Amino acid sequence: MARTAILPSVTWHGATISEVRAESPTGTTLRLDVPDWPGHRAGQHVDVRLTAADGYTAVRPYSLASPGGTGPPEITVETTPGGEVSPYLATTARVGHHVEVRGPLGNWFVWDVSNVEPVQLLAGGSGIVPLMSMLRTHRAAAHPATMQLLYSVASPERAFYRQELAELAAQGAVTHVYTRRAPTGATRPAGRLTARELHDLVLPPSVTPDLFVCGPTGFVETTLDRLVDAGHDPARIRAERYGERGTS
Amino acid sequence: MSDTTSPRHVDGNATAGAMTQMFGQDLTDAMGTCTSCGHRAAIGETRAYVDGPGVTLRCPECEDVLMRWATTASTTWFAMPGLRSLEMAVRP
Repeated sequence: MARTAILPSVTWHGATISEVRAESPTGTTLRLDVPDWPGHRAGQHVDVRLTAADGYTAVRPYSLASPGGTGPPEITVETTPGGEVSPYLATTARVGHHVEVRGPLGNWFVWDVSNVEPVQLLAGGSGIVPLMSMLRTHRAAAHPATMQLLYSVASPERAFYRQELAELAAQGAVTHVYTRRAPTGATRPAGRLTARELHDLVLPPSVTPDLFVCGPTGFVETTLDRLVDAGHDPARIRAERYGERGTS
Repeated sequence: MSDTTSPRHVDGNATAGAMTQMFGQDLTDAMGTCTSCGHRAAIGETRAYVDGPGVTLRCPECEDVLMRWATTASTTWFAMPGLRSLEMAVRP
């Protein structure tokens, strides 16, 4: 089997954190050095396992942010207050620390470069992570299909991947919607995405886009309902719900 | 929790690791049919309740329980009370 074949791996692998980058006051990207990493498809995740000194373990899924392929996997973790795993990963983890991972995982919420349909990505908050992997994969491949992102986030400071997304926004491929605080001079006041905006800022049903929606459960549910109301084919929509403020 | 429409669920996607461990195959793109309402959906699209001691997957249409499992140090207990069928891709 070729090394690039991406088979599910149930084995836990030791991983060394090889790079730590702050994305926002609460979000951190970790690059993981995983021996014999088989590569991943854009949209997949890994399970991360932490083990305490007394043997207690906690496992959480984290989406991969790095482009699909065999490059080193990166996850971006947003701190969940009171969480068991995310505060460590987002604020305490340092280069050289060890964790365990299994994956890549998930064959449903994925986008492959073999897809030729236009793609509309819709992110709510930290739901940007797997969609960023899709954008990066698309960009790295100089893919001919249209791919655009609508990113709903609390404020400019809370947004991830600011530099990269600013470049894509300048090309018209990314639109930010701020829900709590808009940047100085913004024409749109802060507020949740409206049905009208969703209609205006998303590729129309007439071009039969594939749609990927990821974010908190409430954001995903509302967005799915509105996309179907707007005439999008439910069979073309794939969603990933992150839950609300849980125990991550 | 009796309110099954509460937002505490995530997607079946999130259980890919646990299911791969149980079945030796990632089932998130397997298509399941609900016994109760006949709705057909990918396991990755089901509603996954993961905050309890085990995991419950519910039908995204009628919310009946499709699968349930719990794992201890020595055993995994698994039930499919509401799954009429499951179609899995044959992988090379």
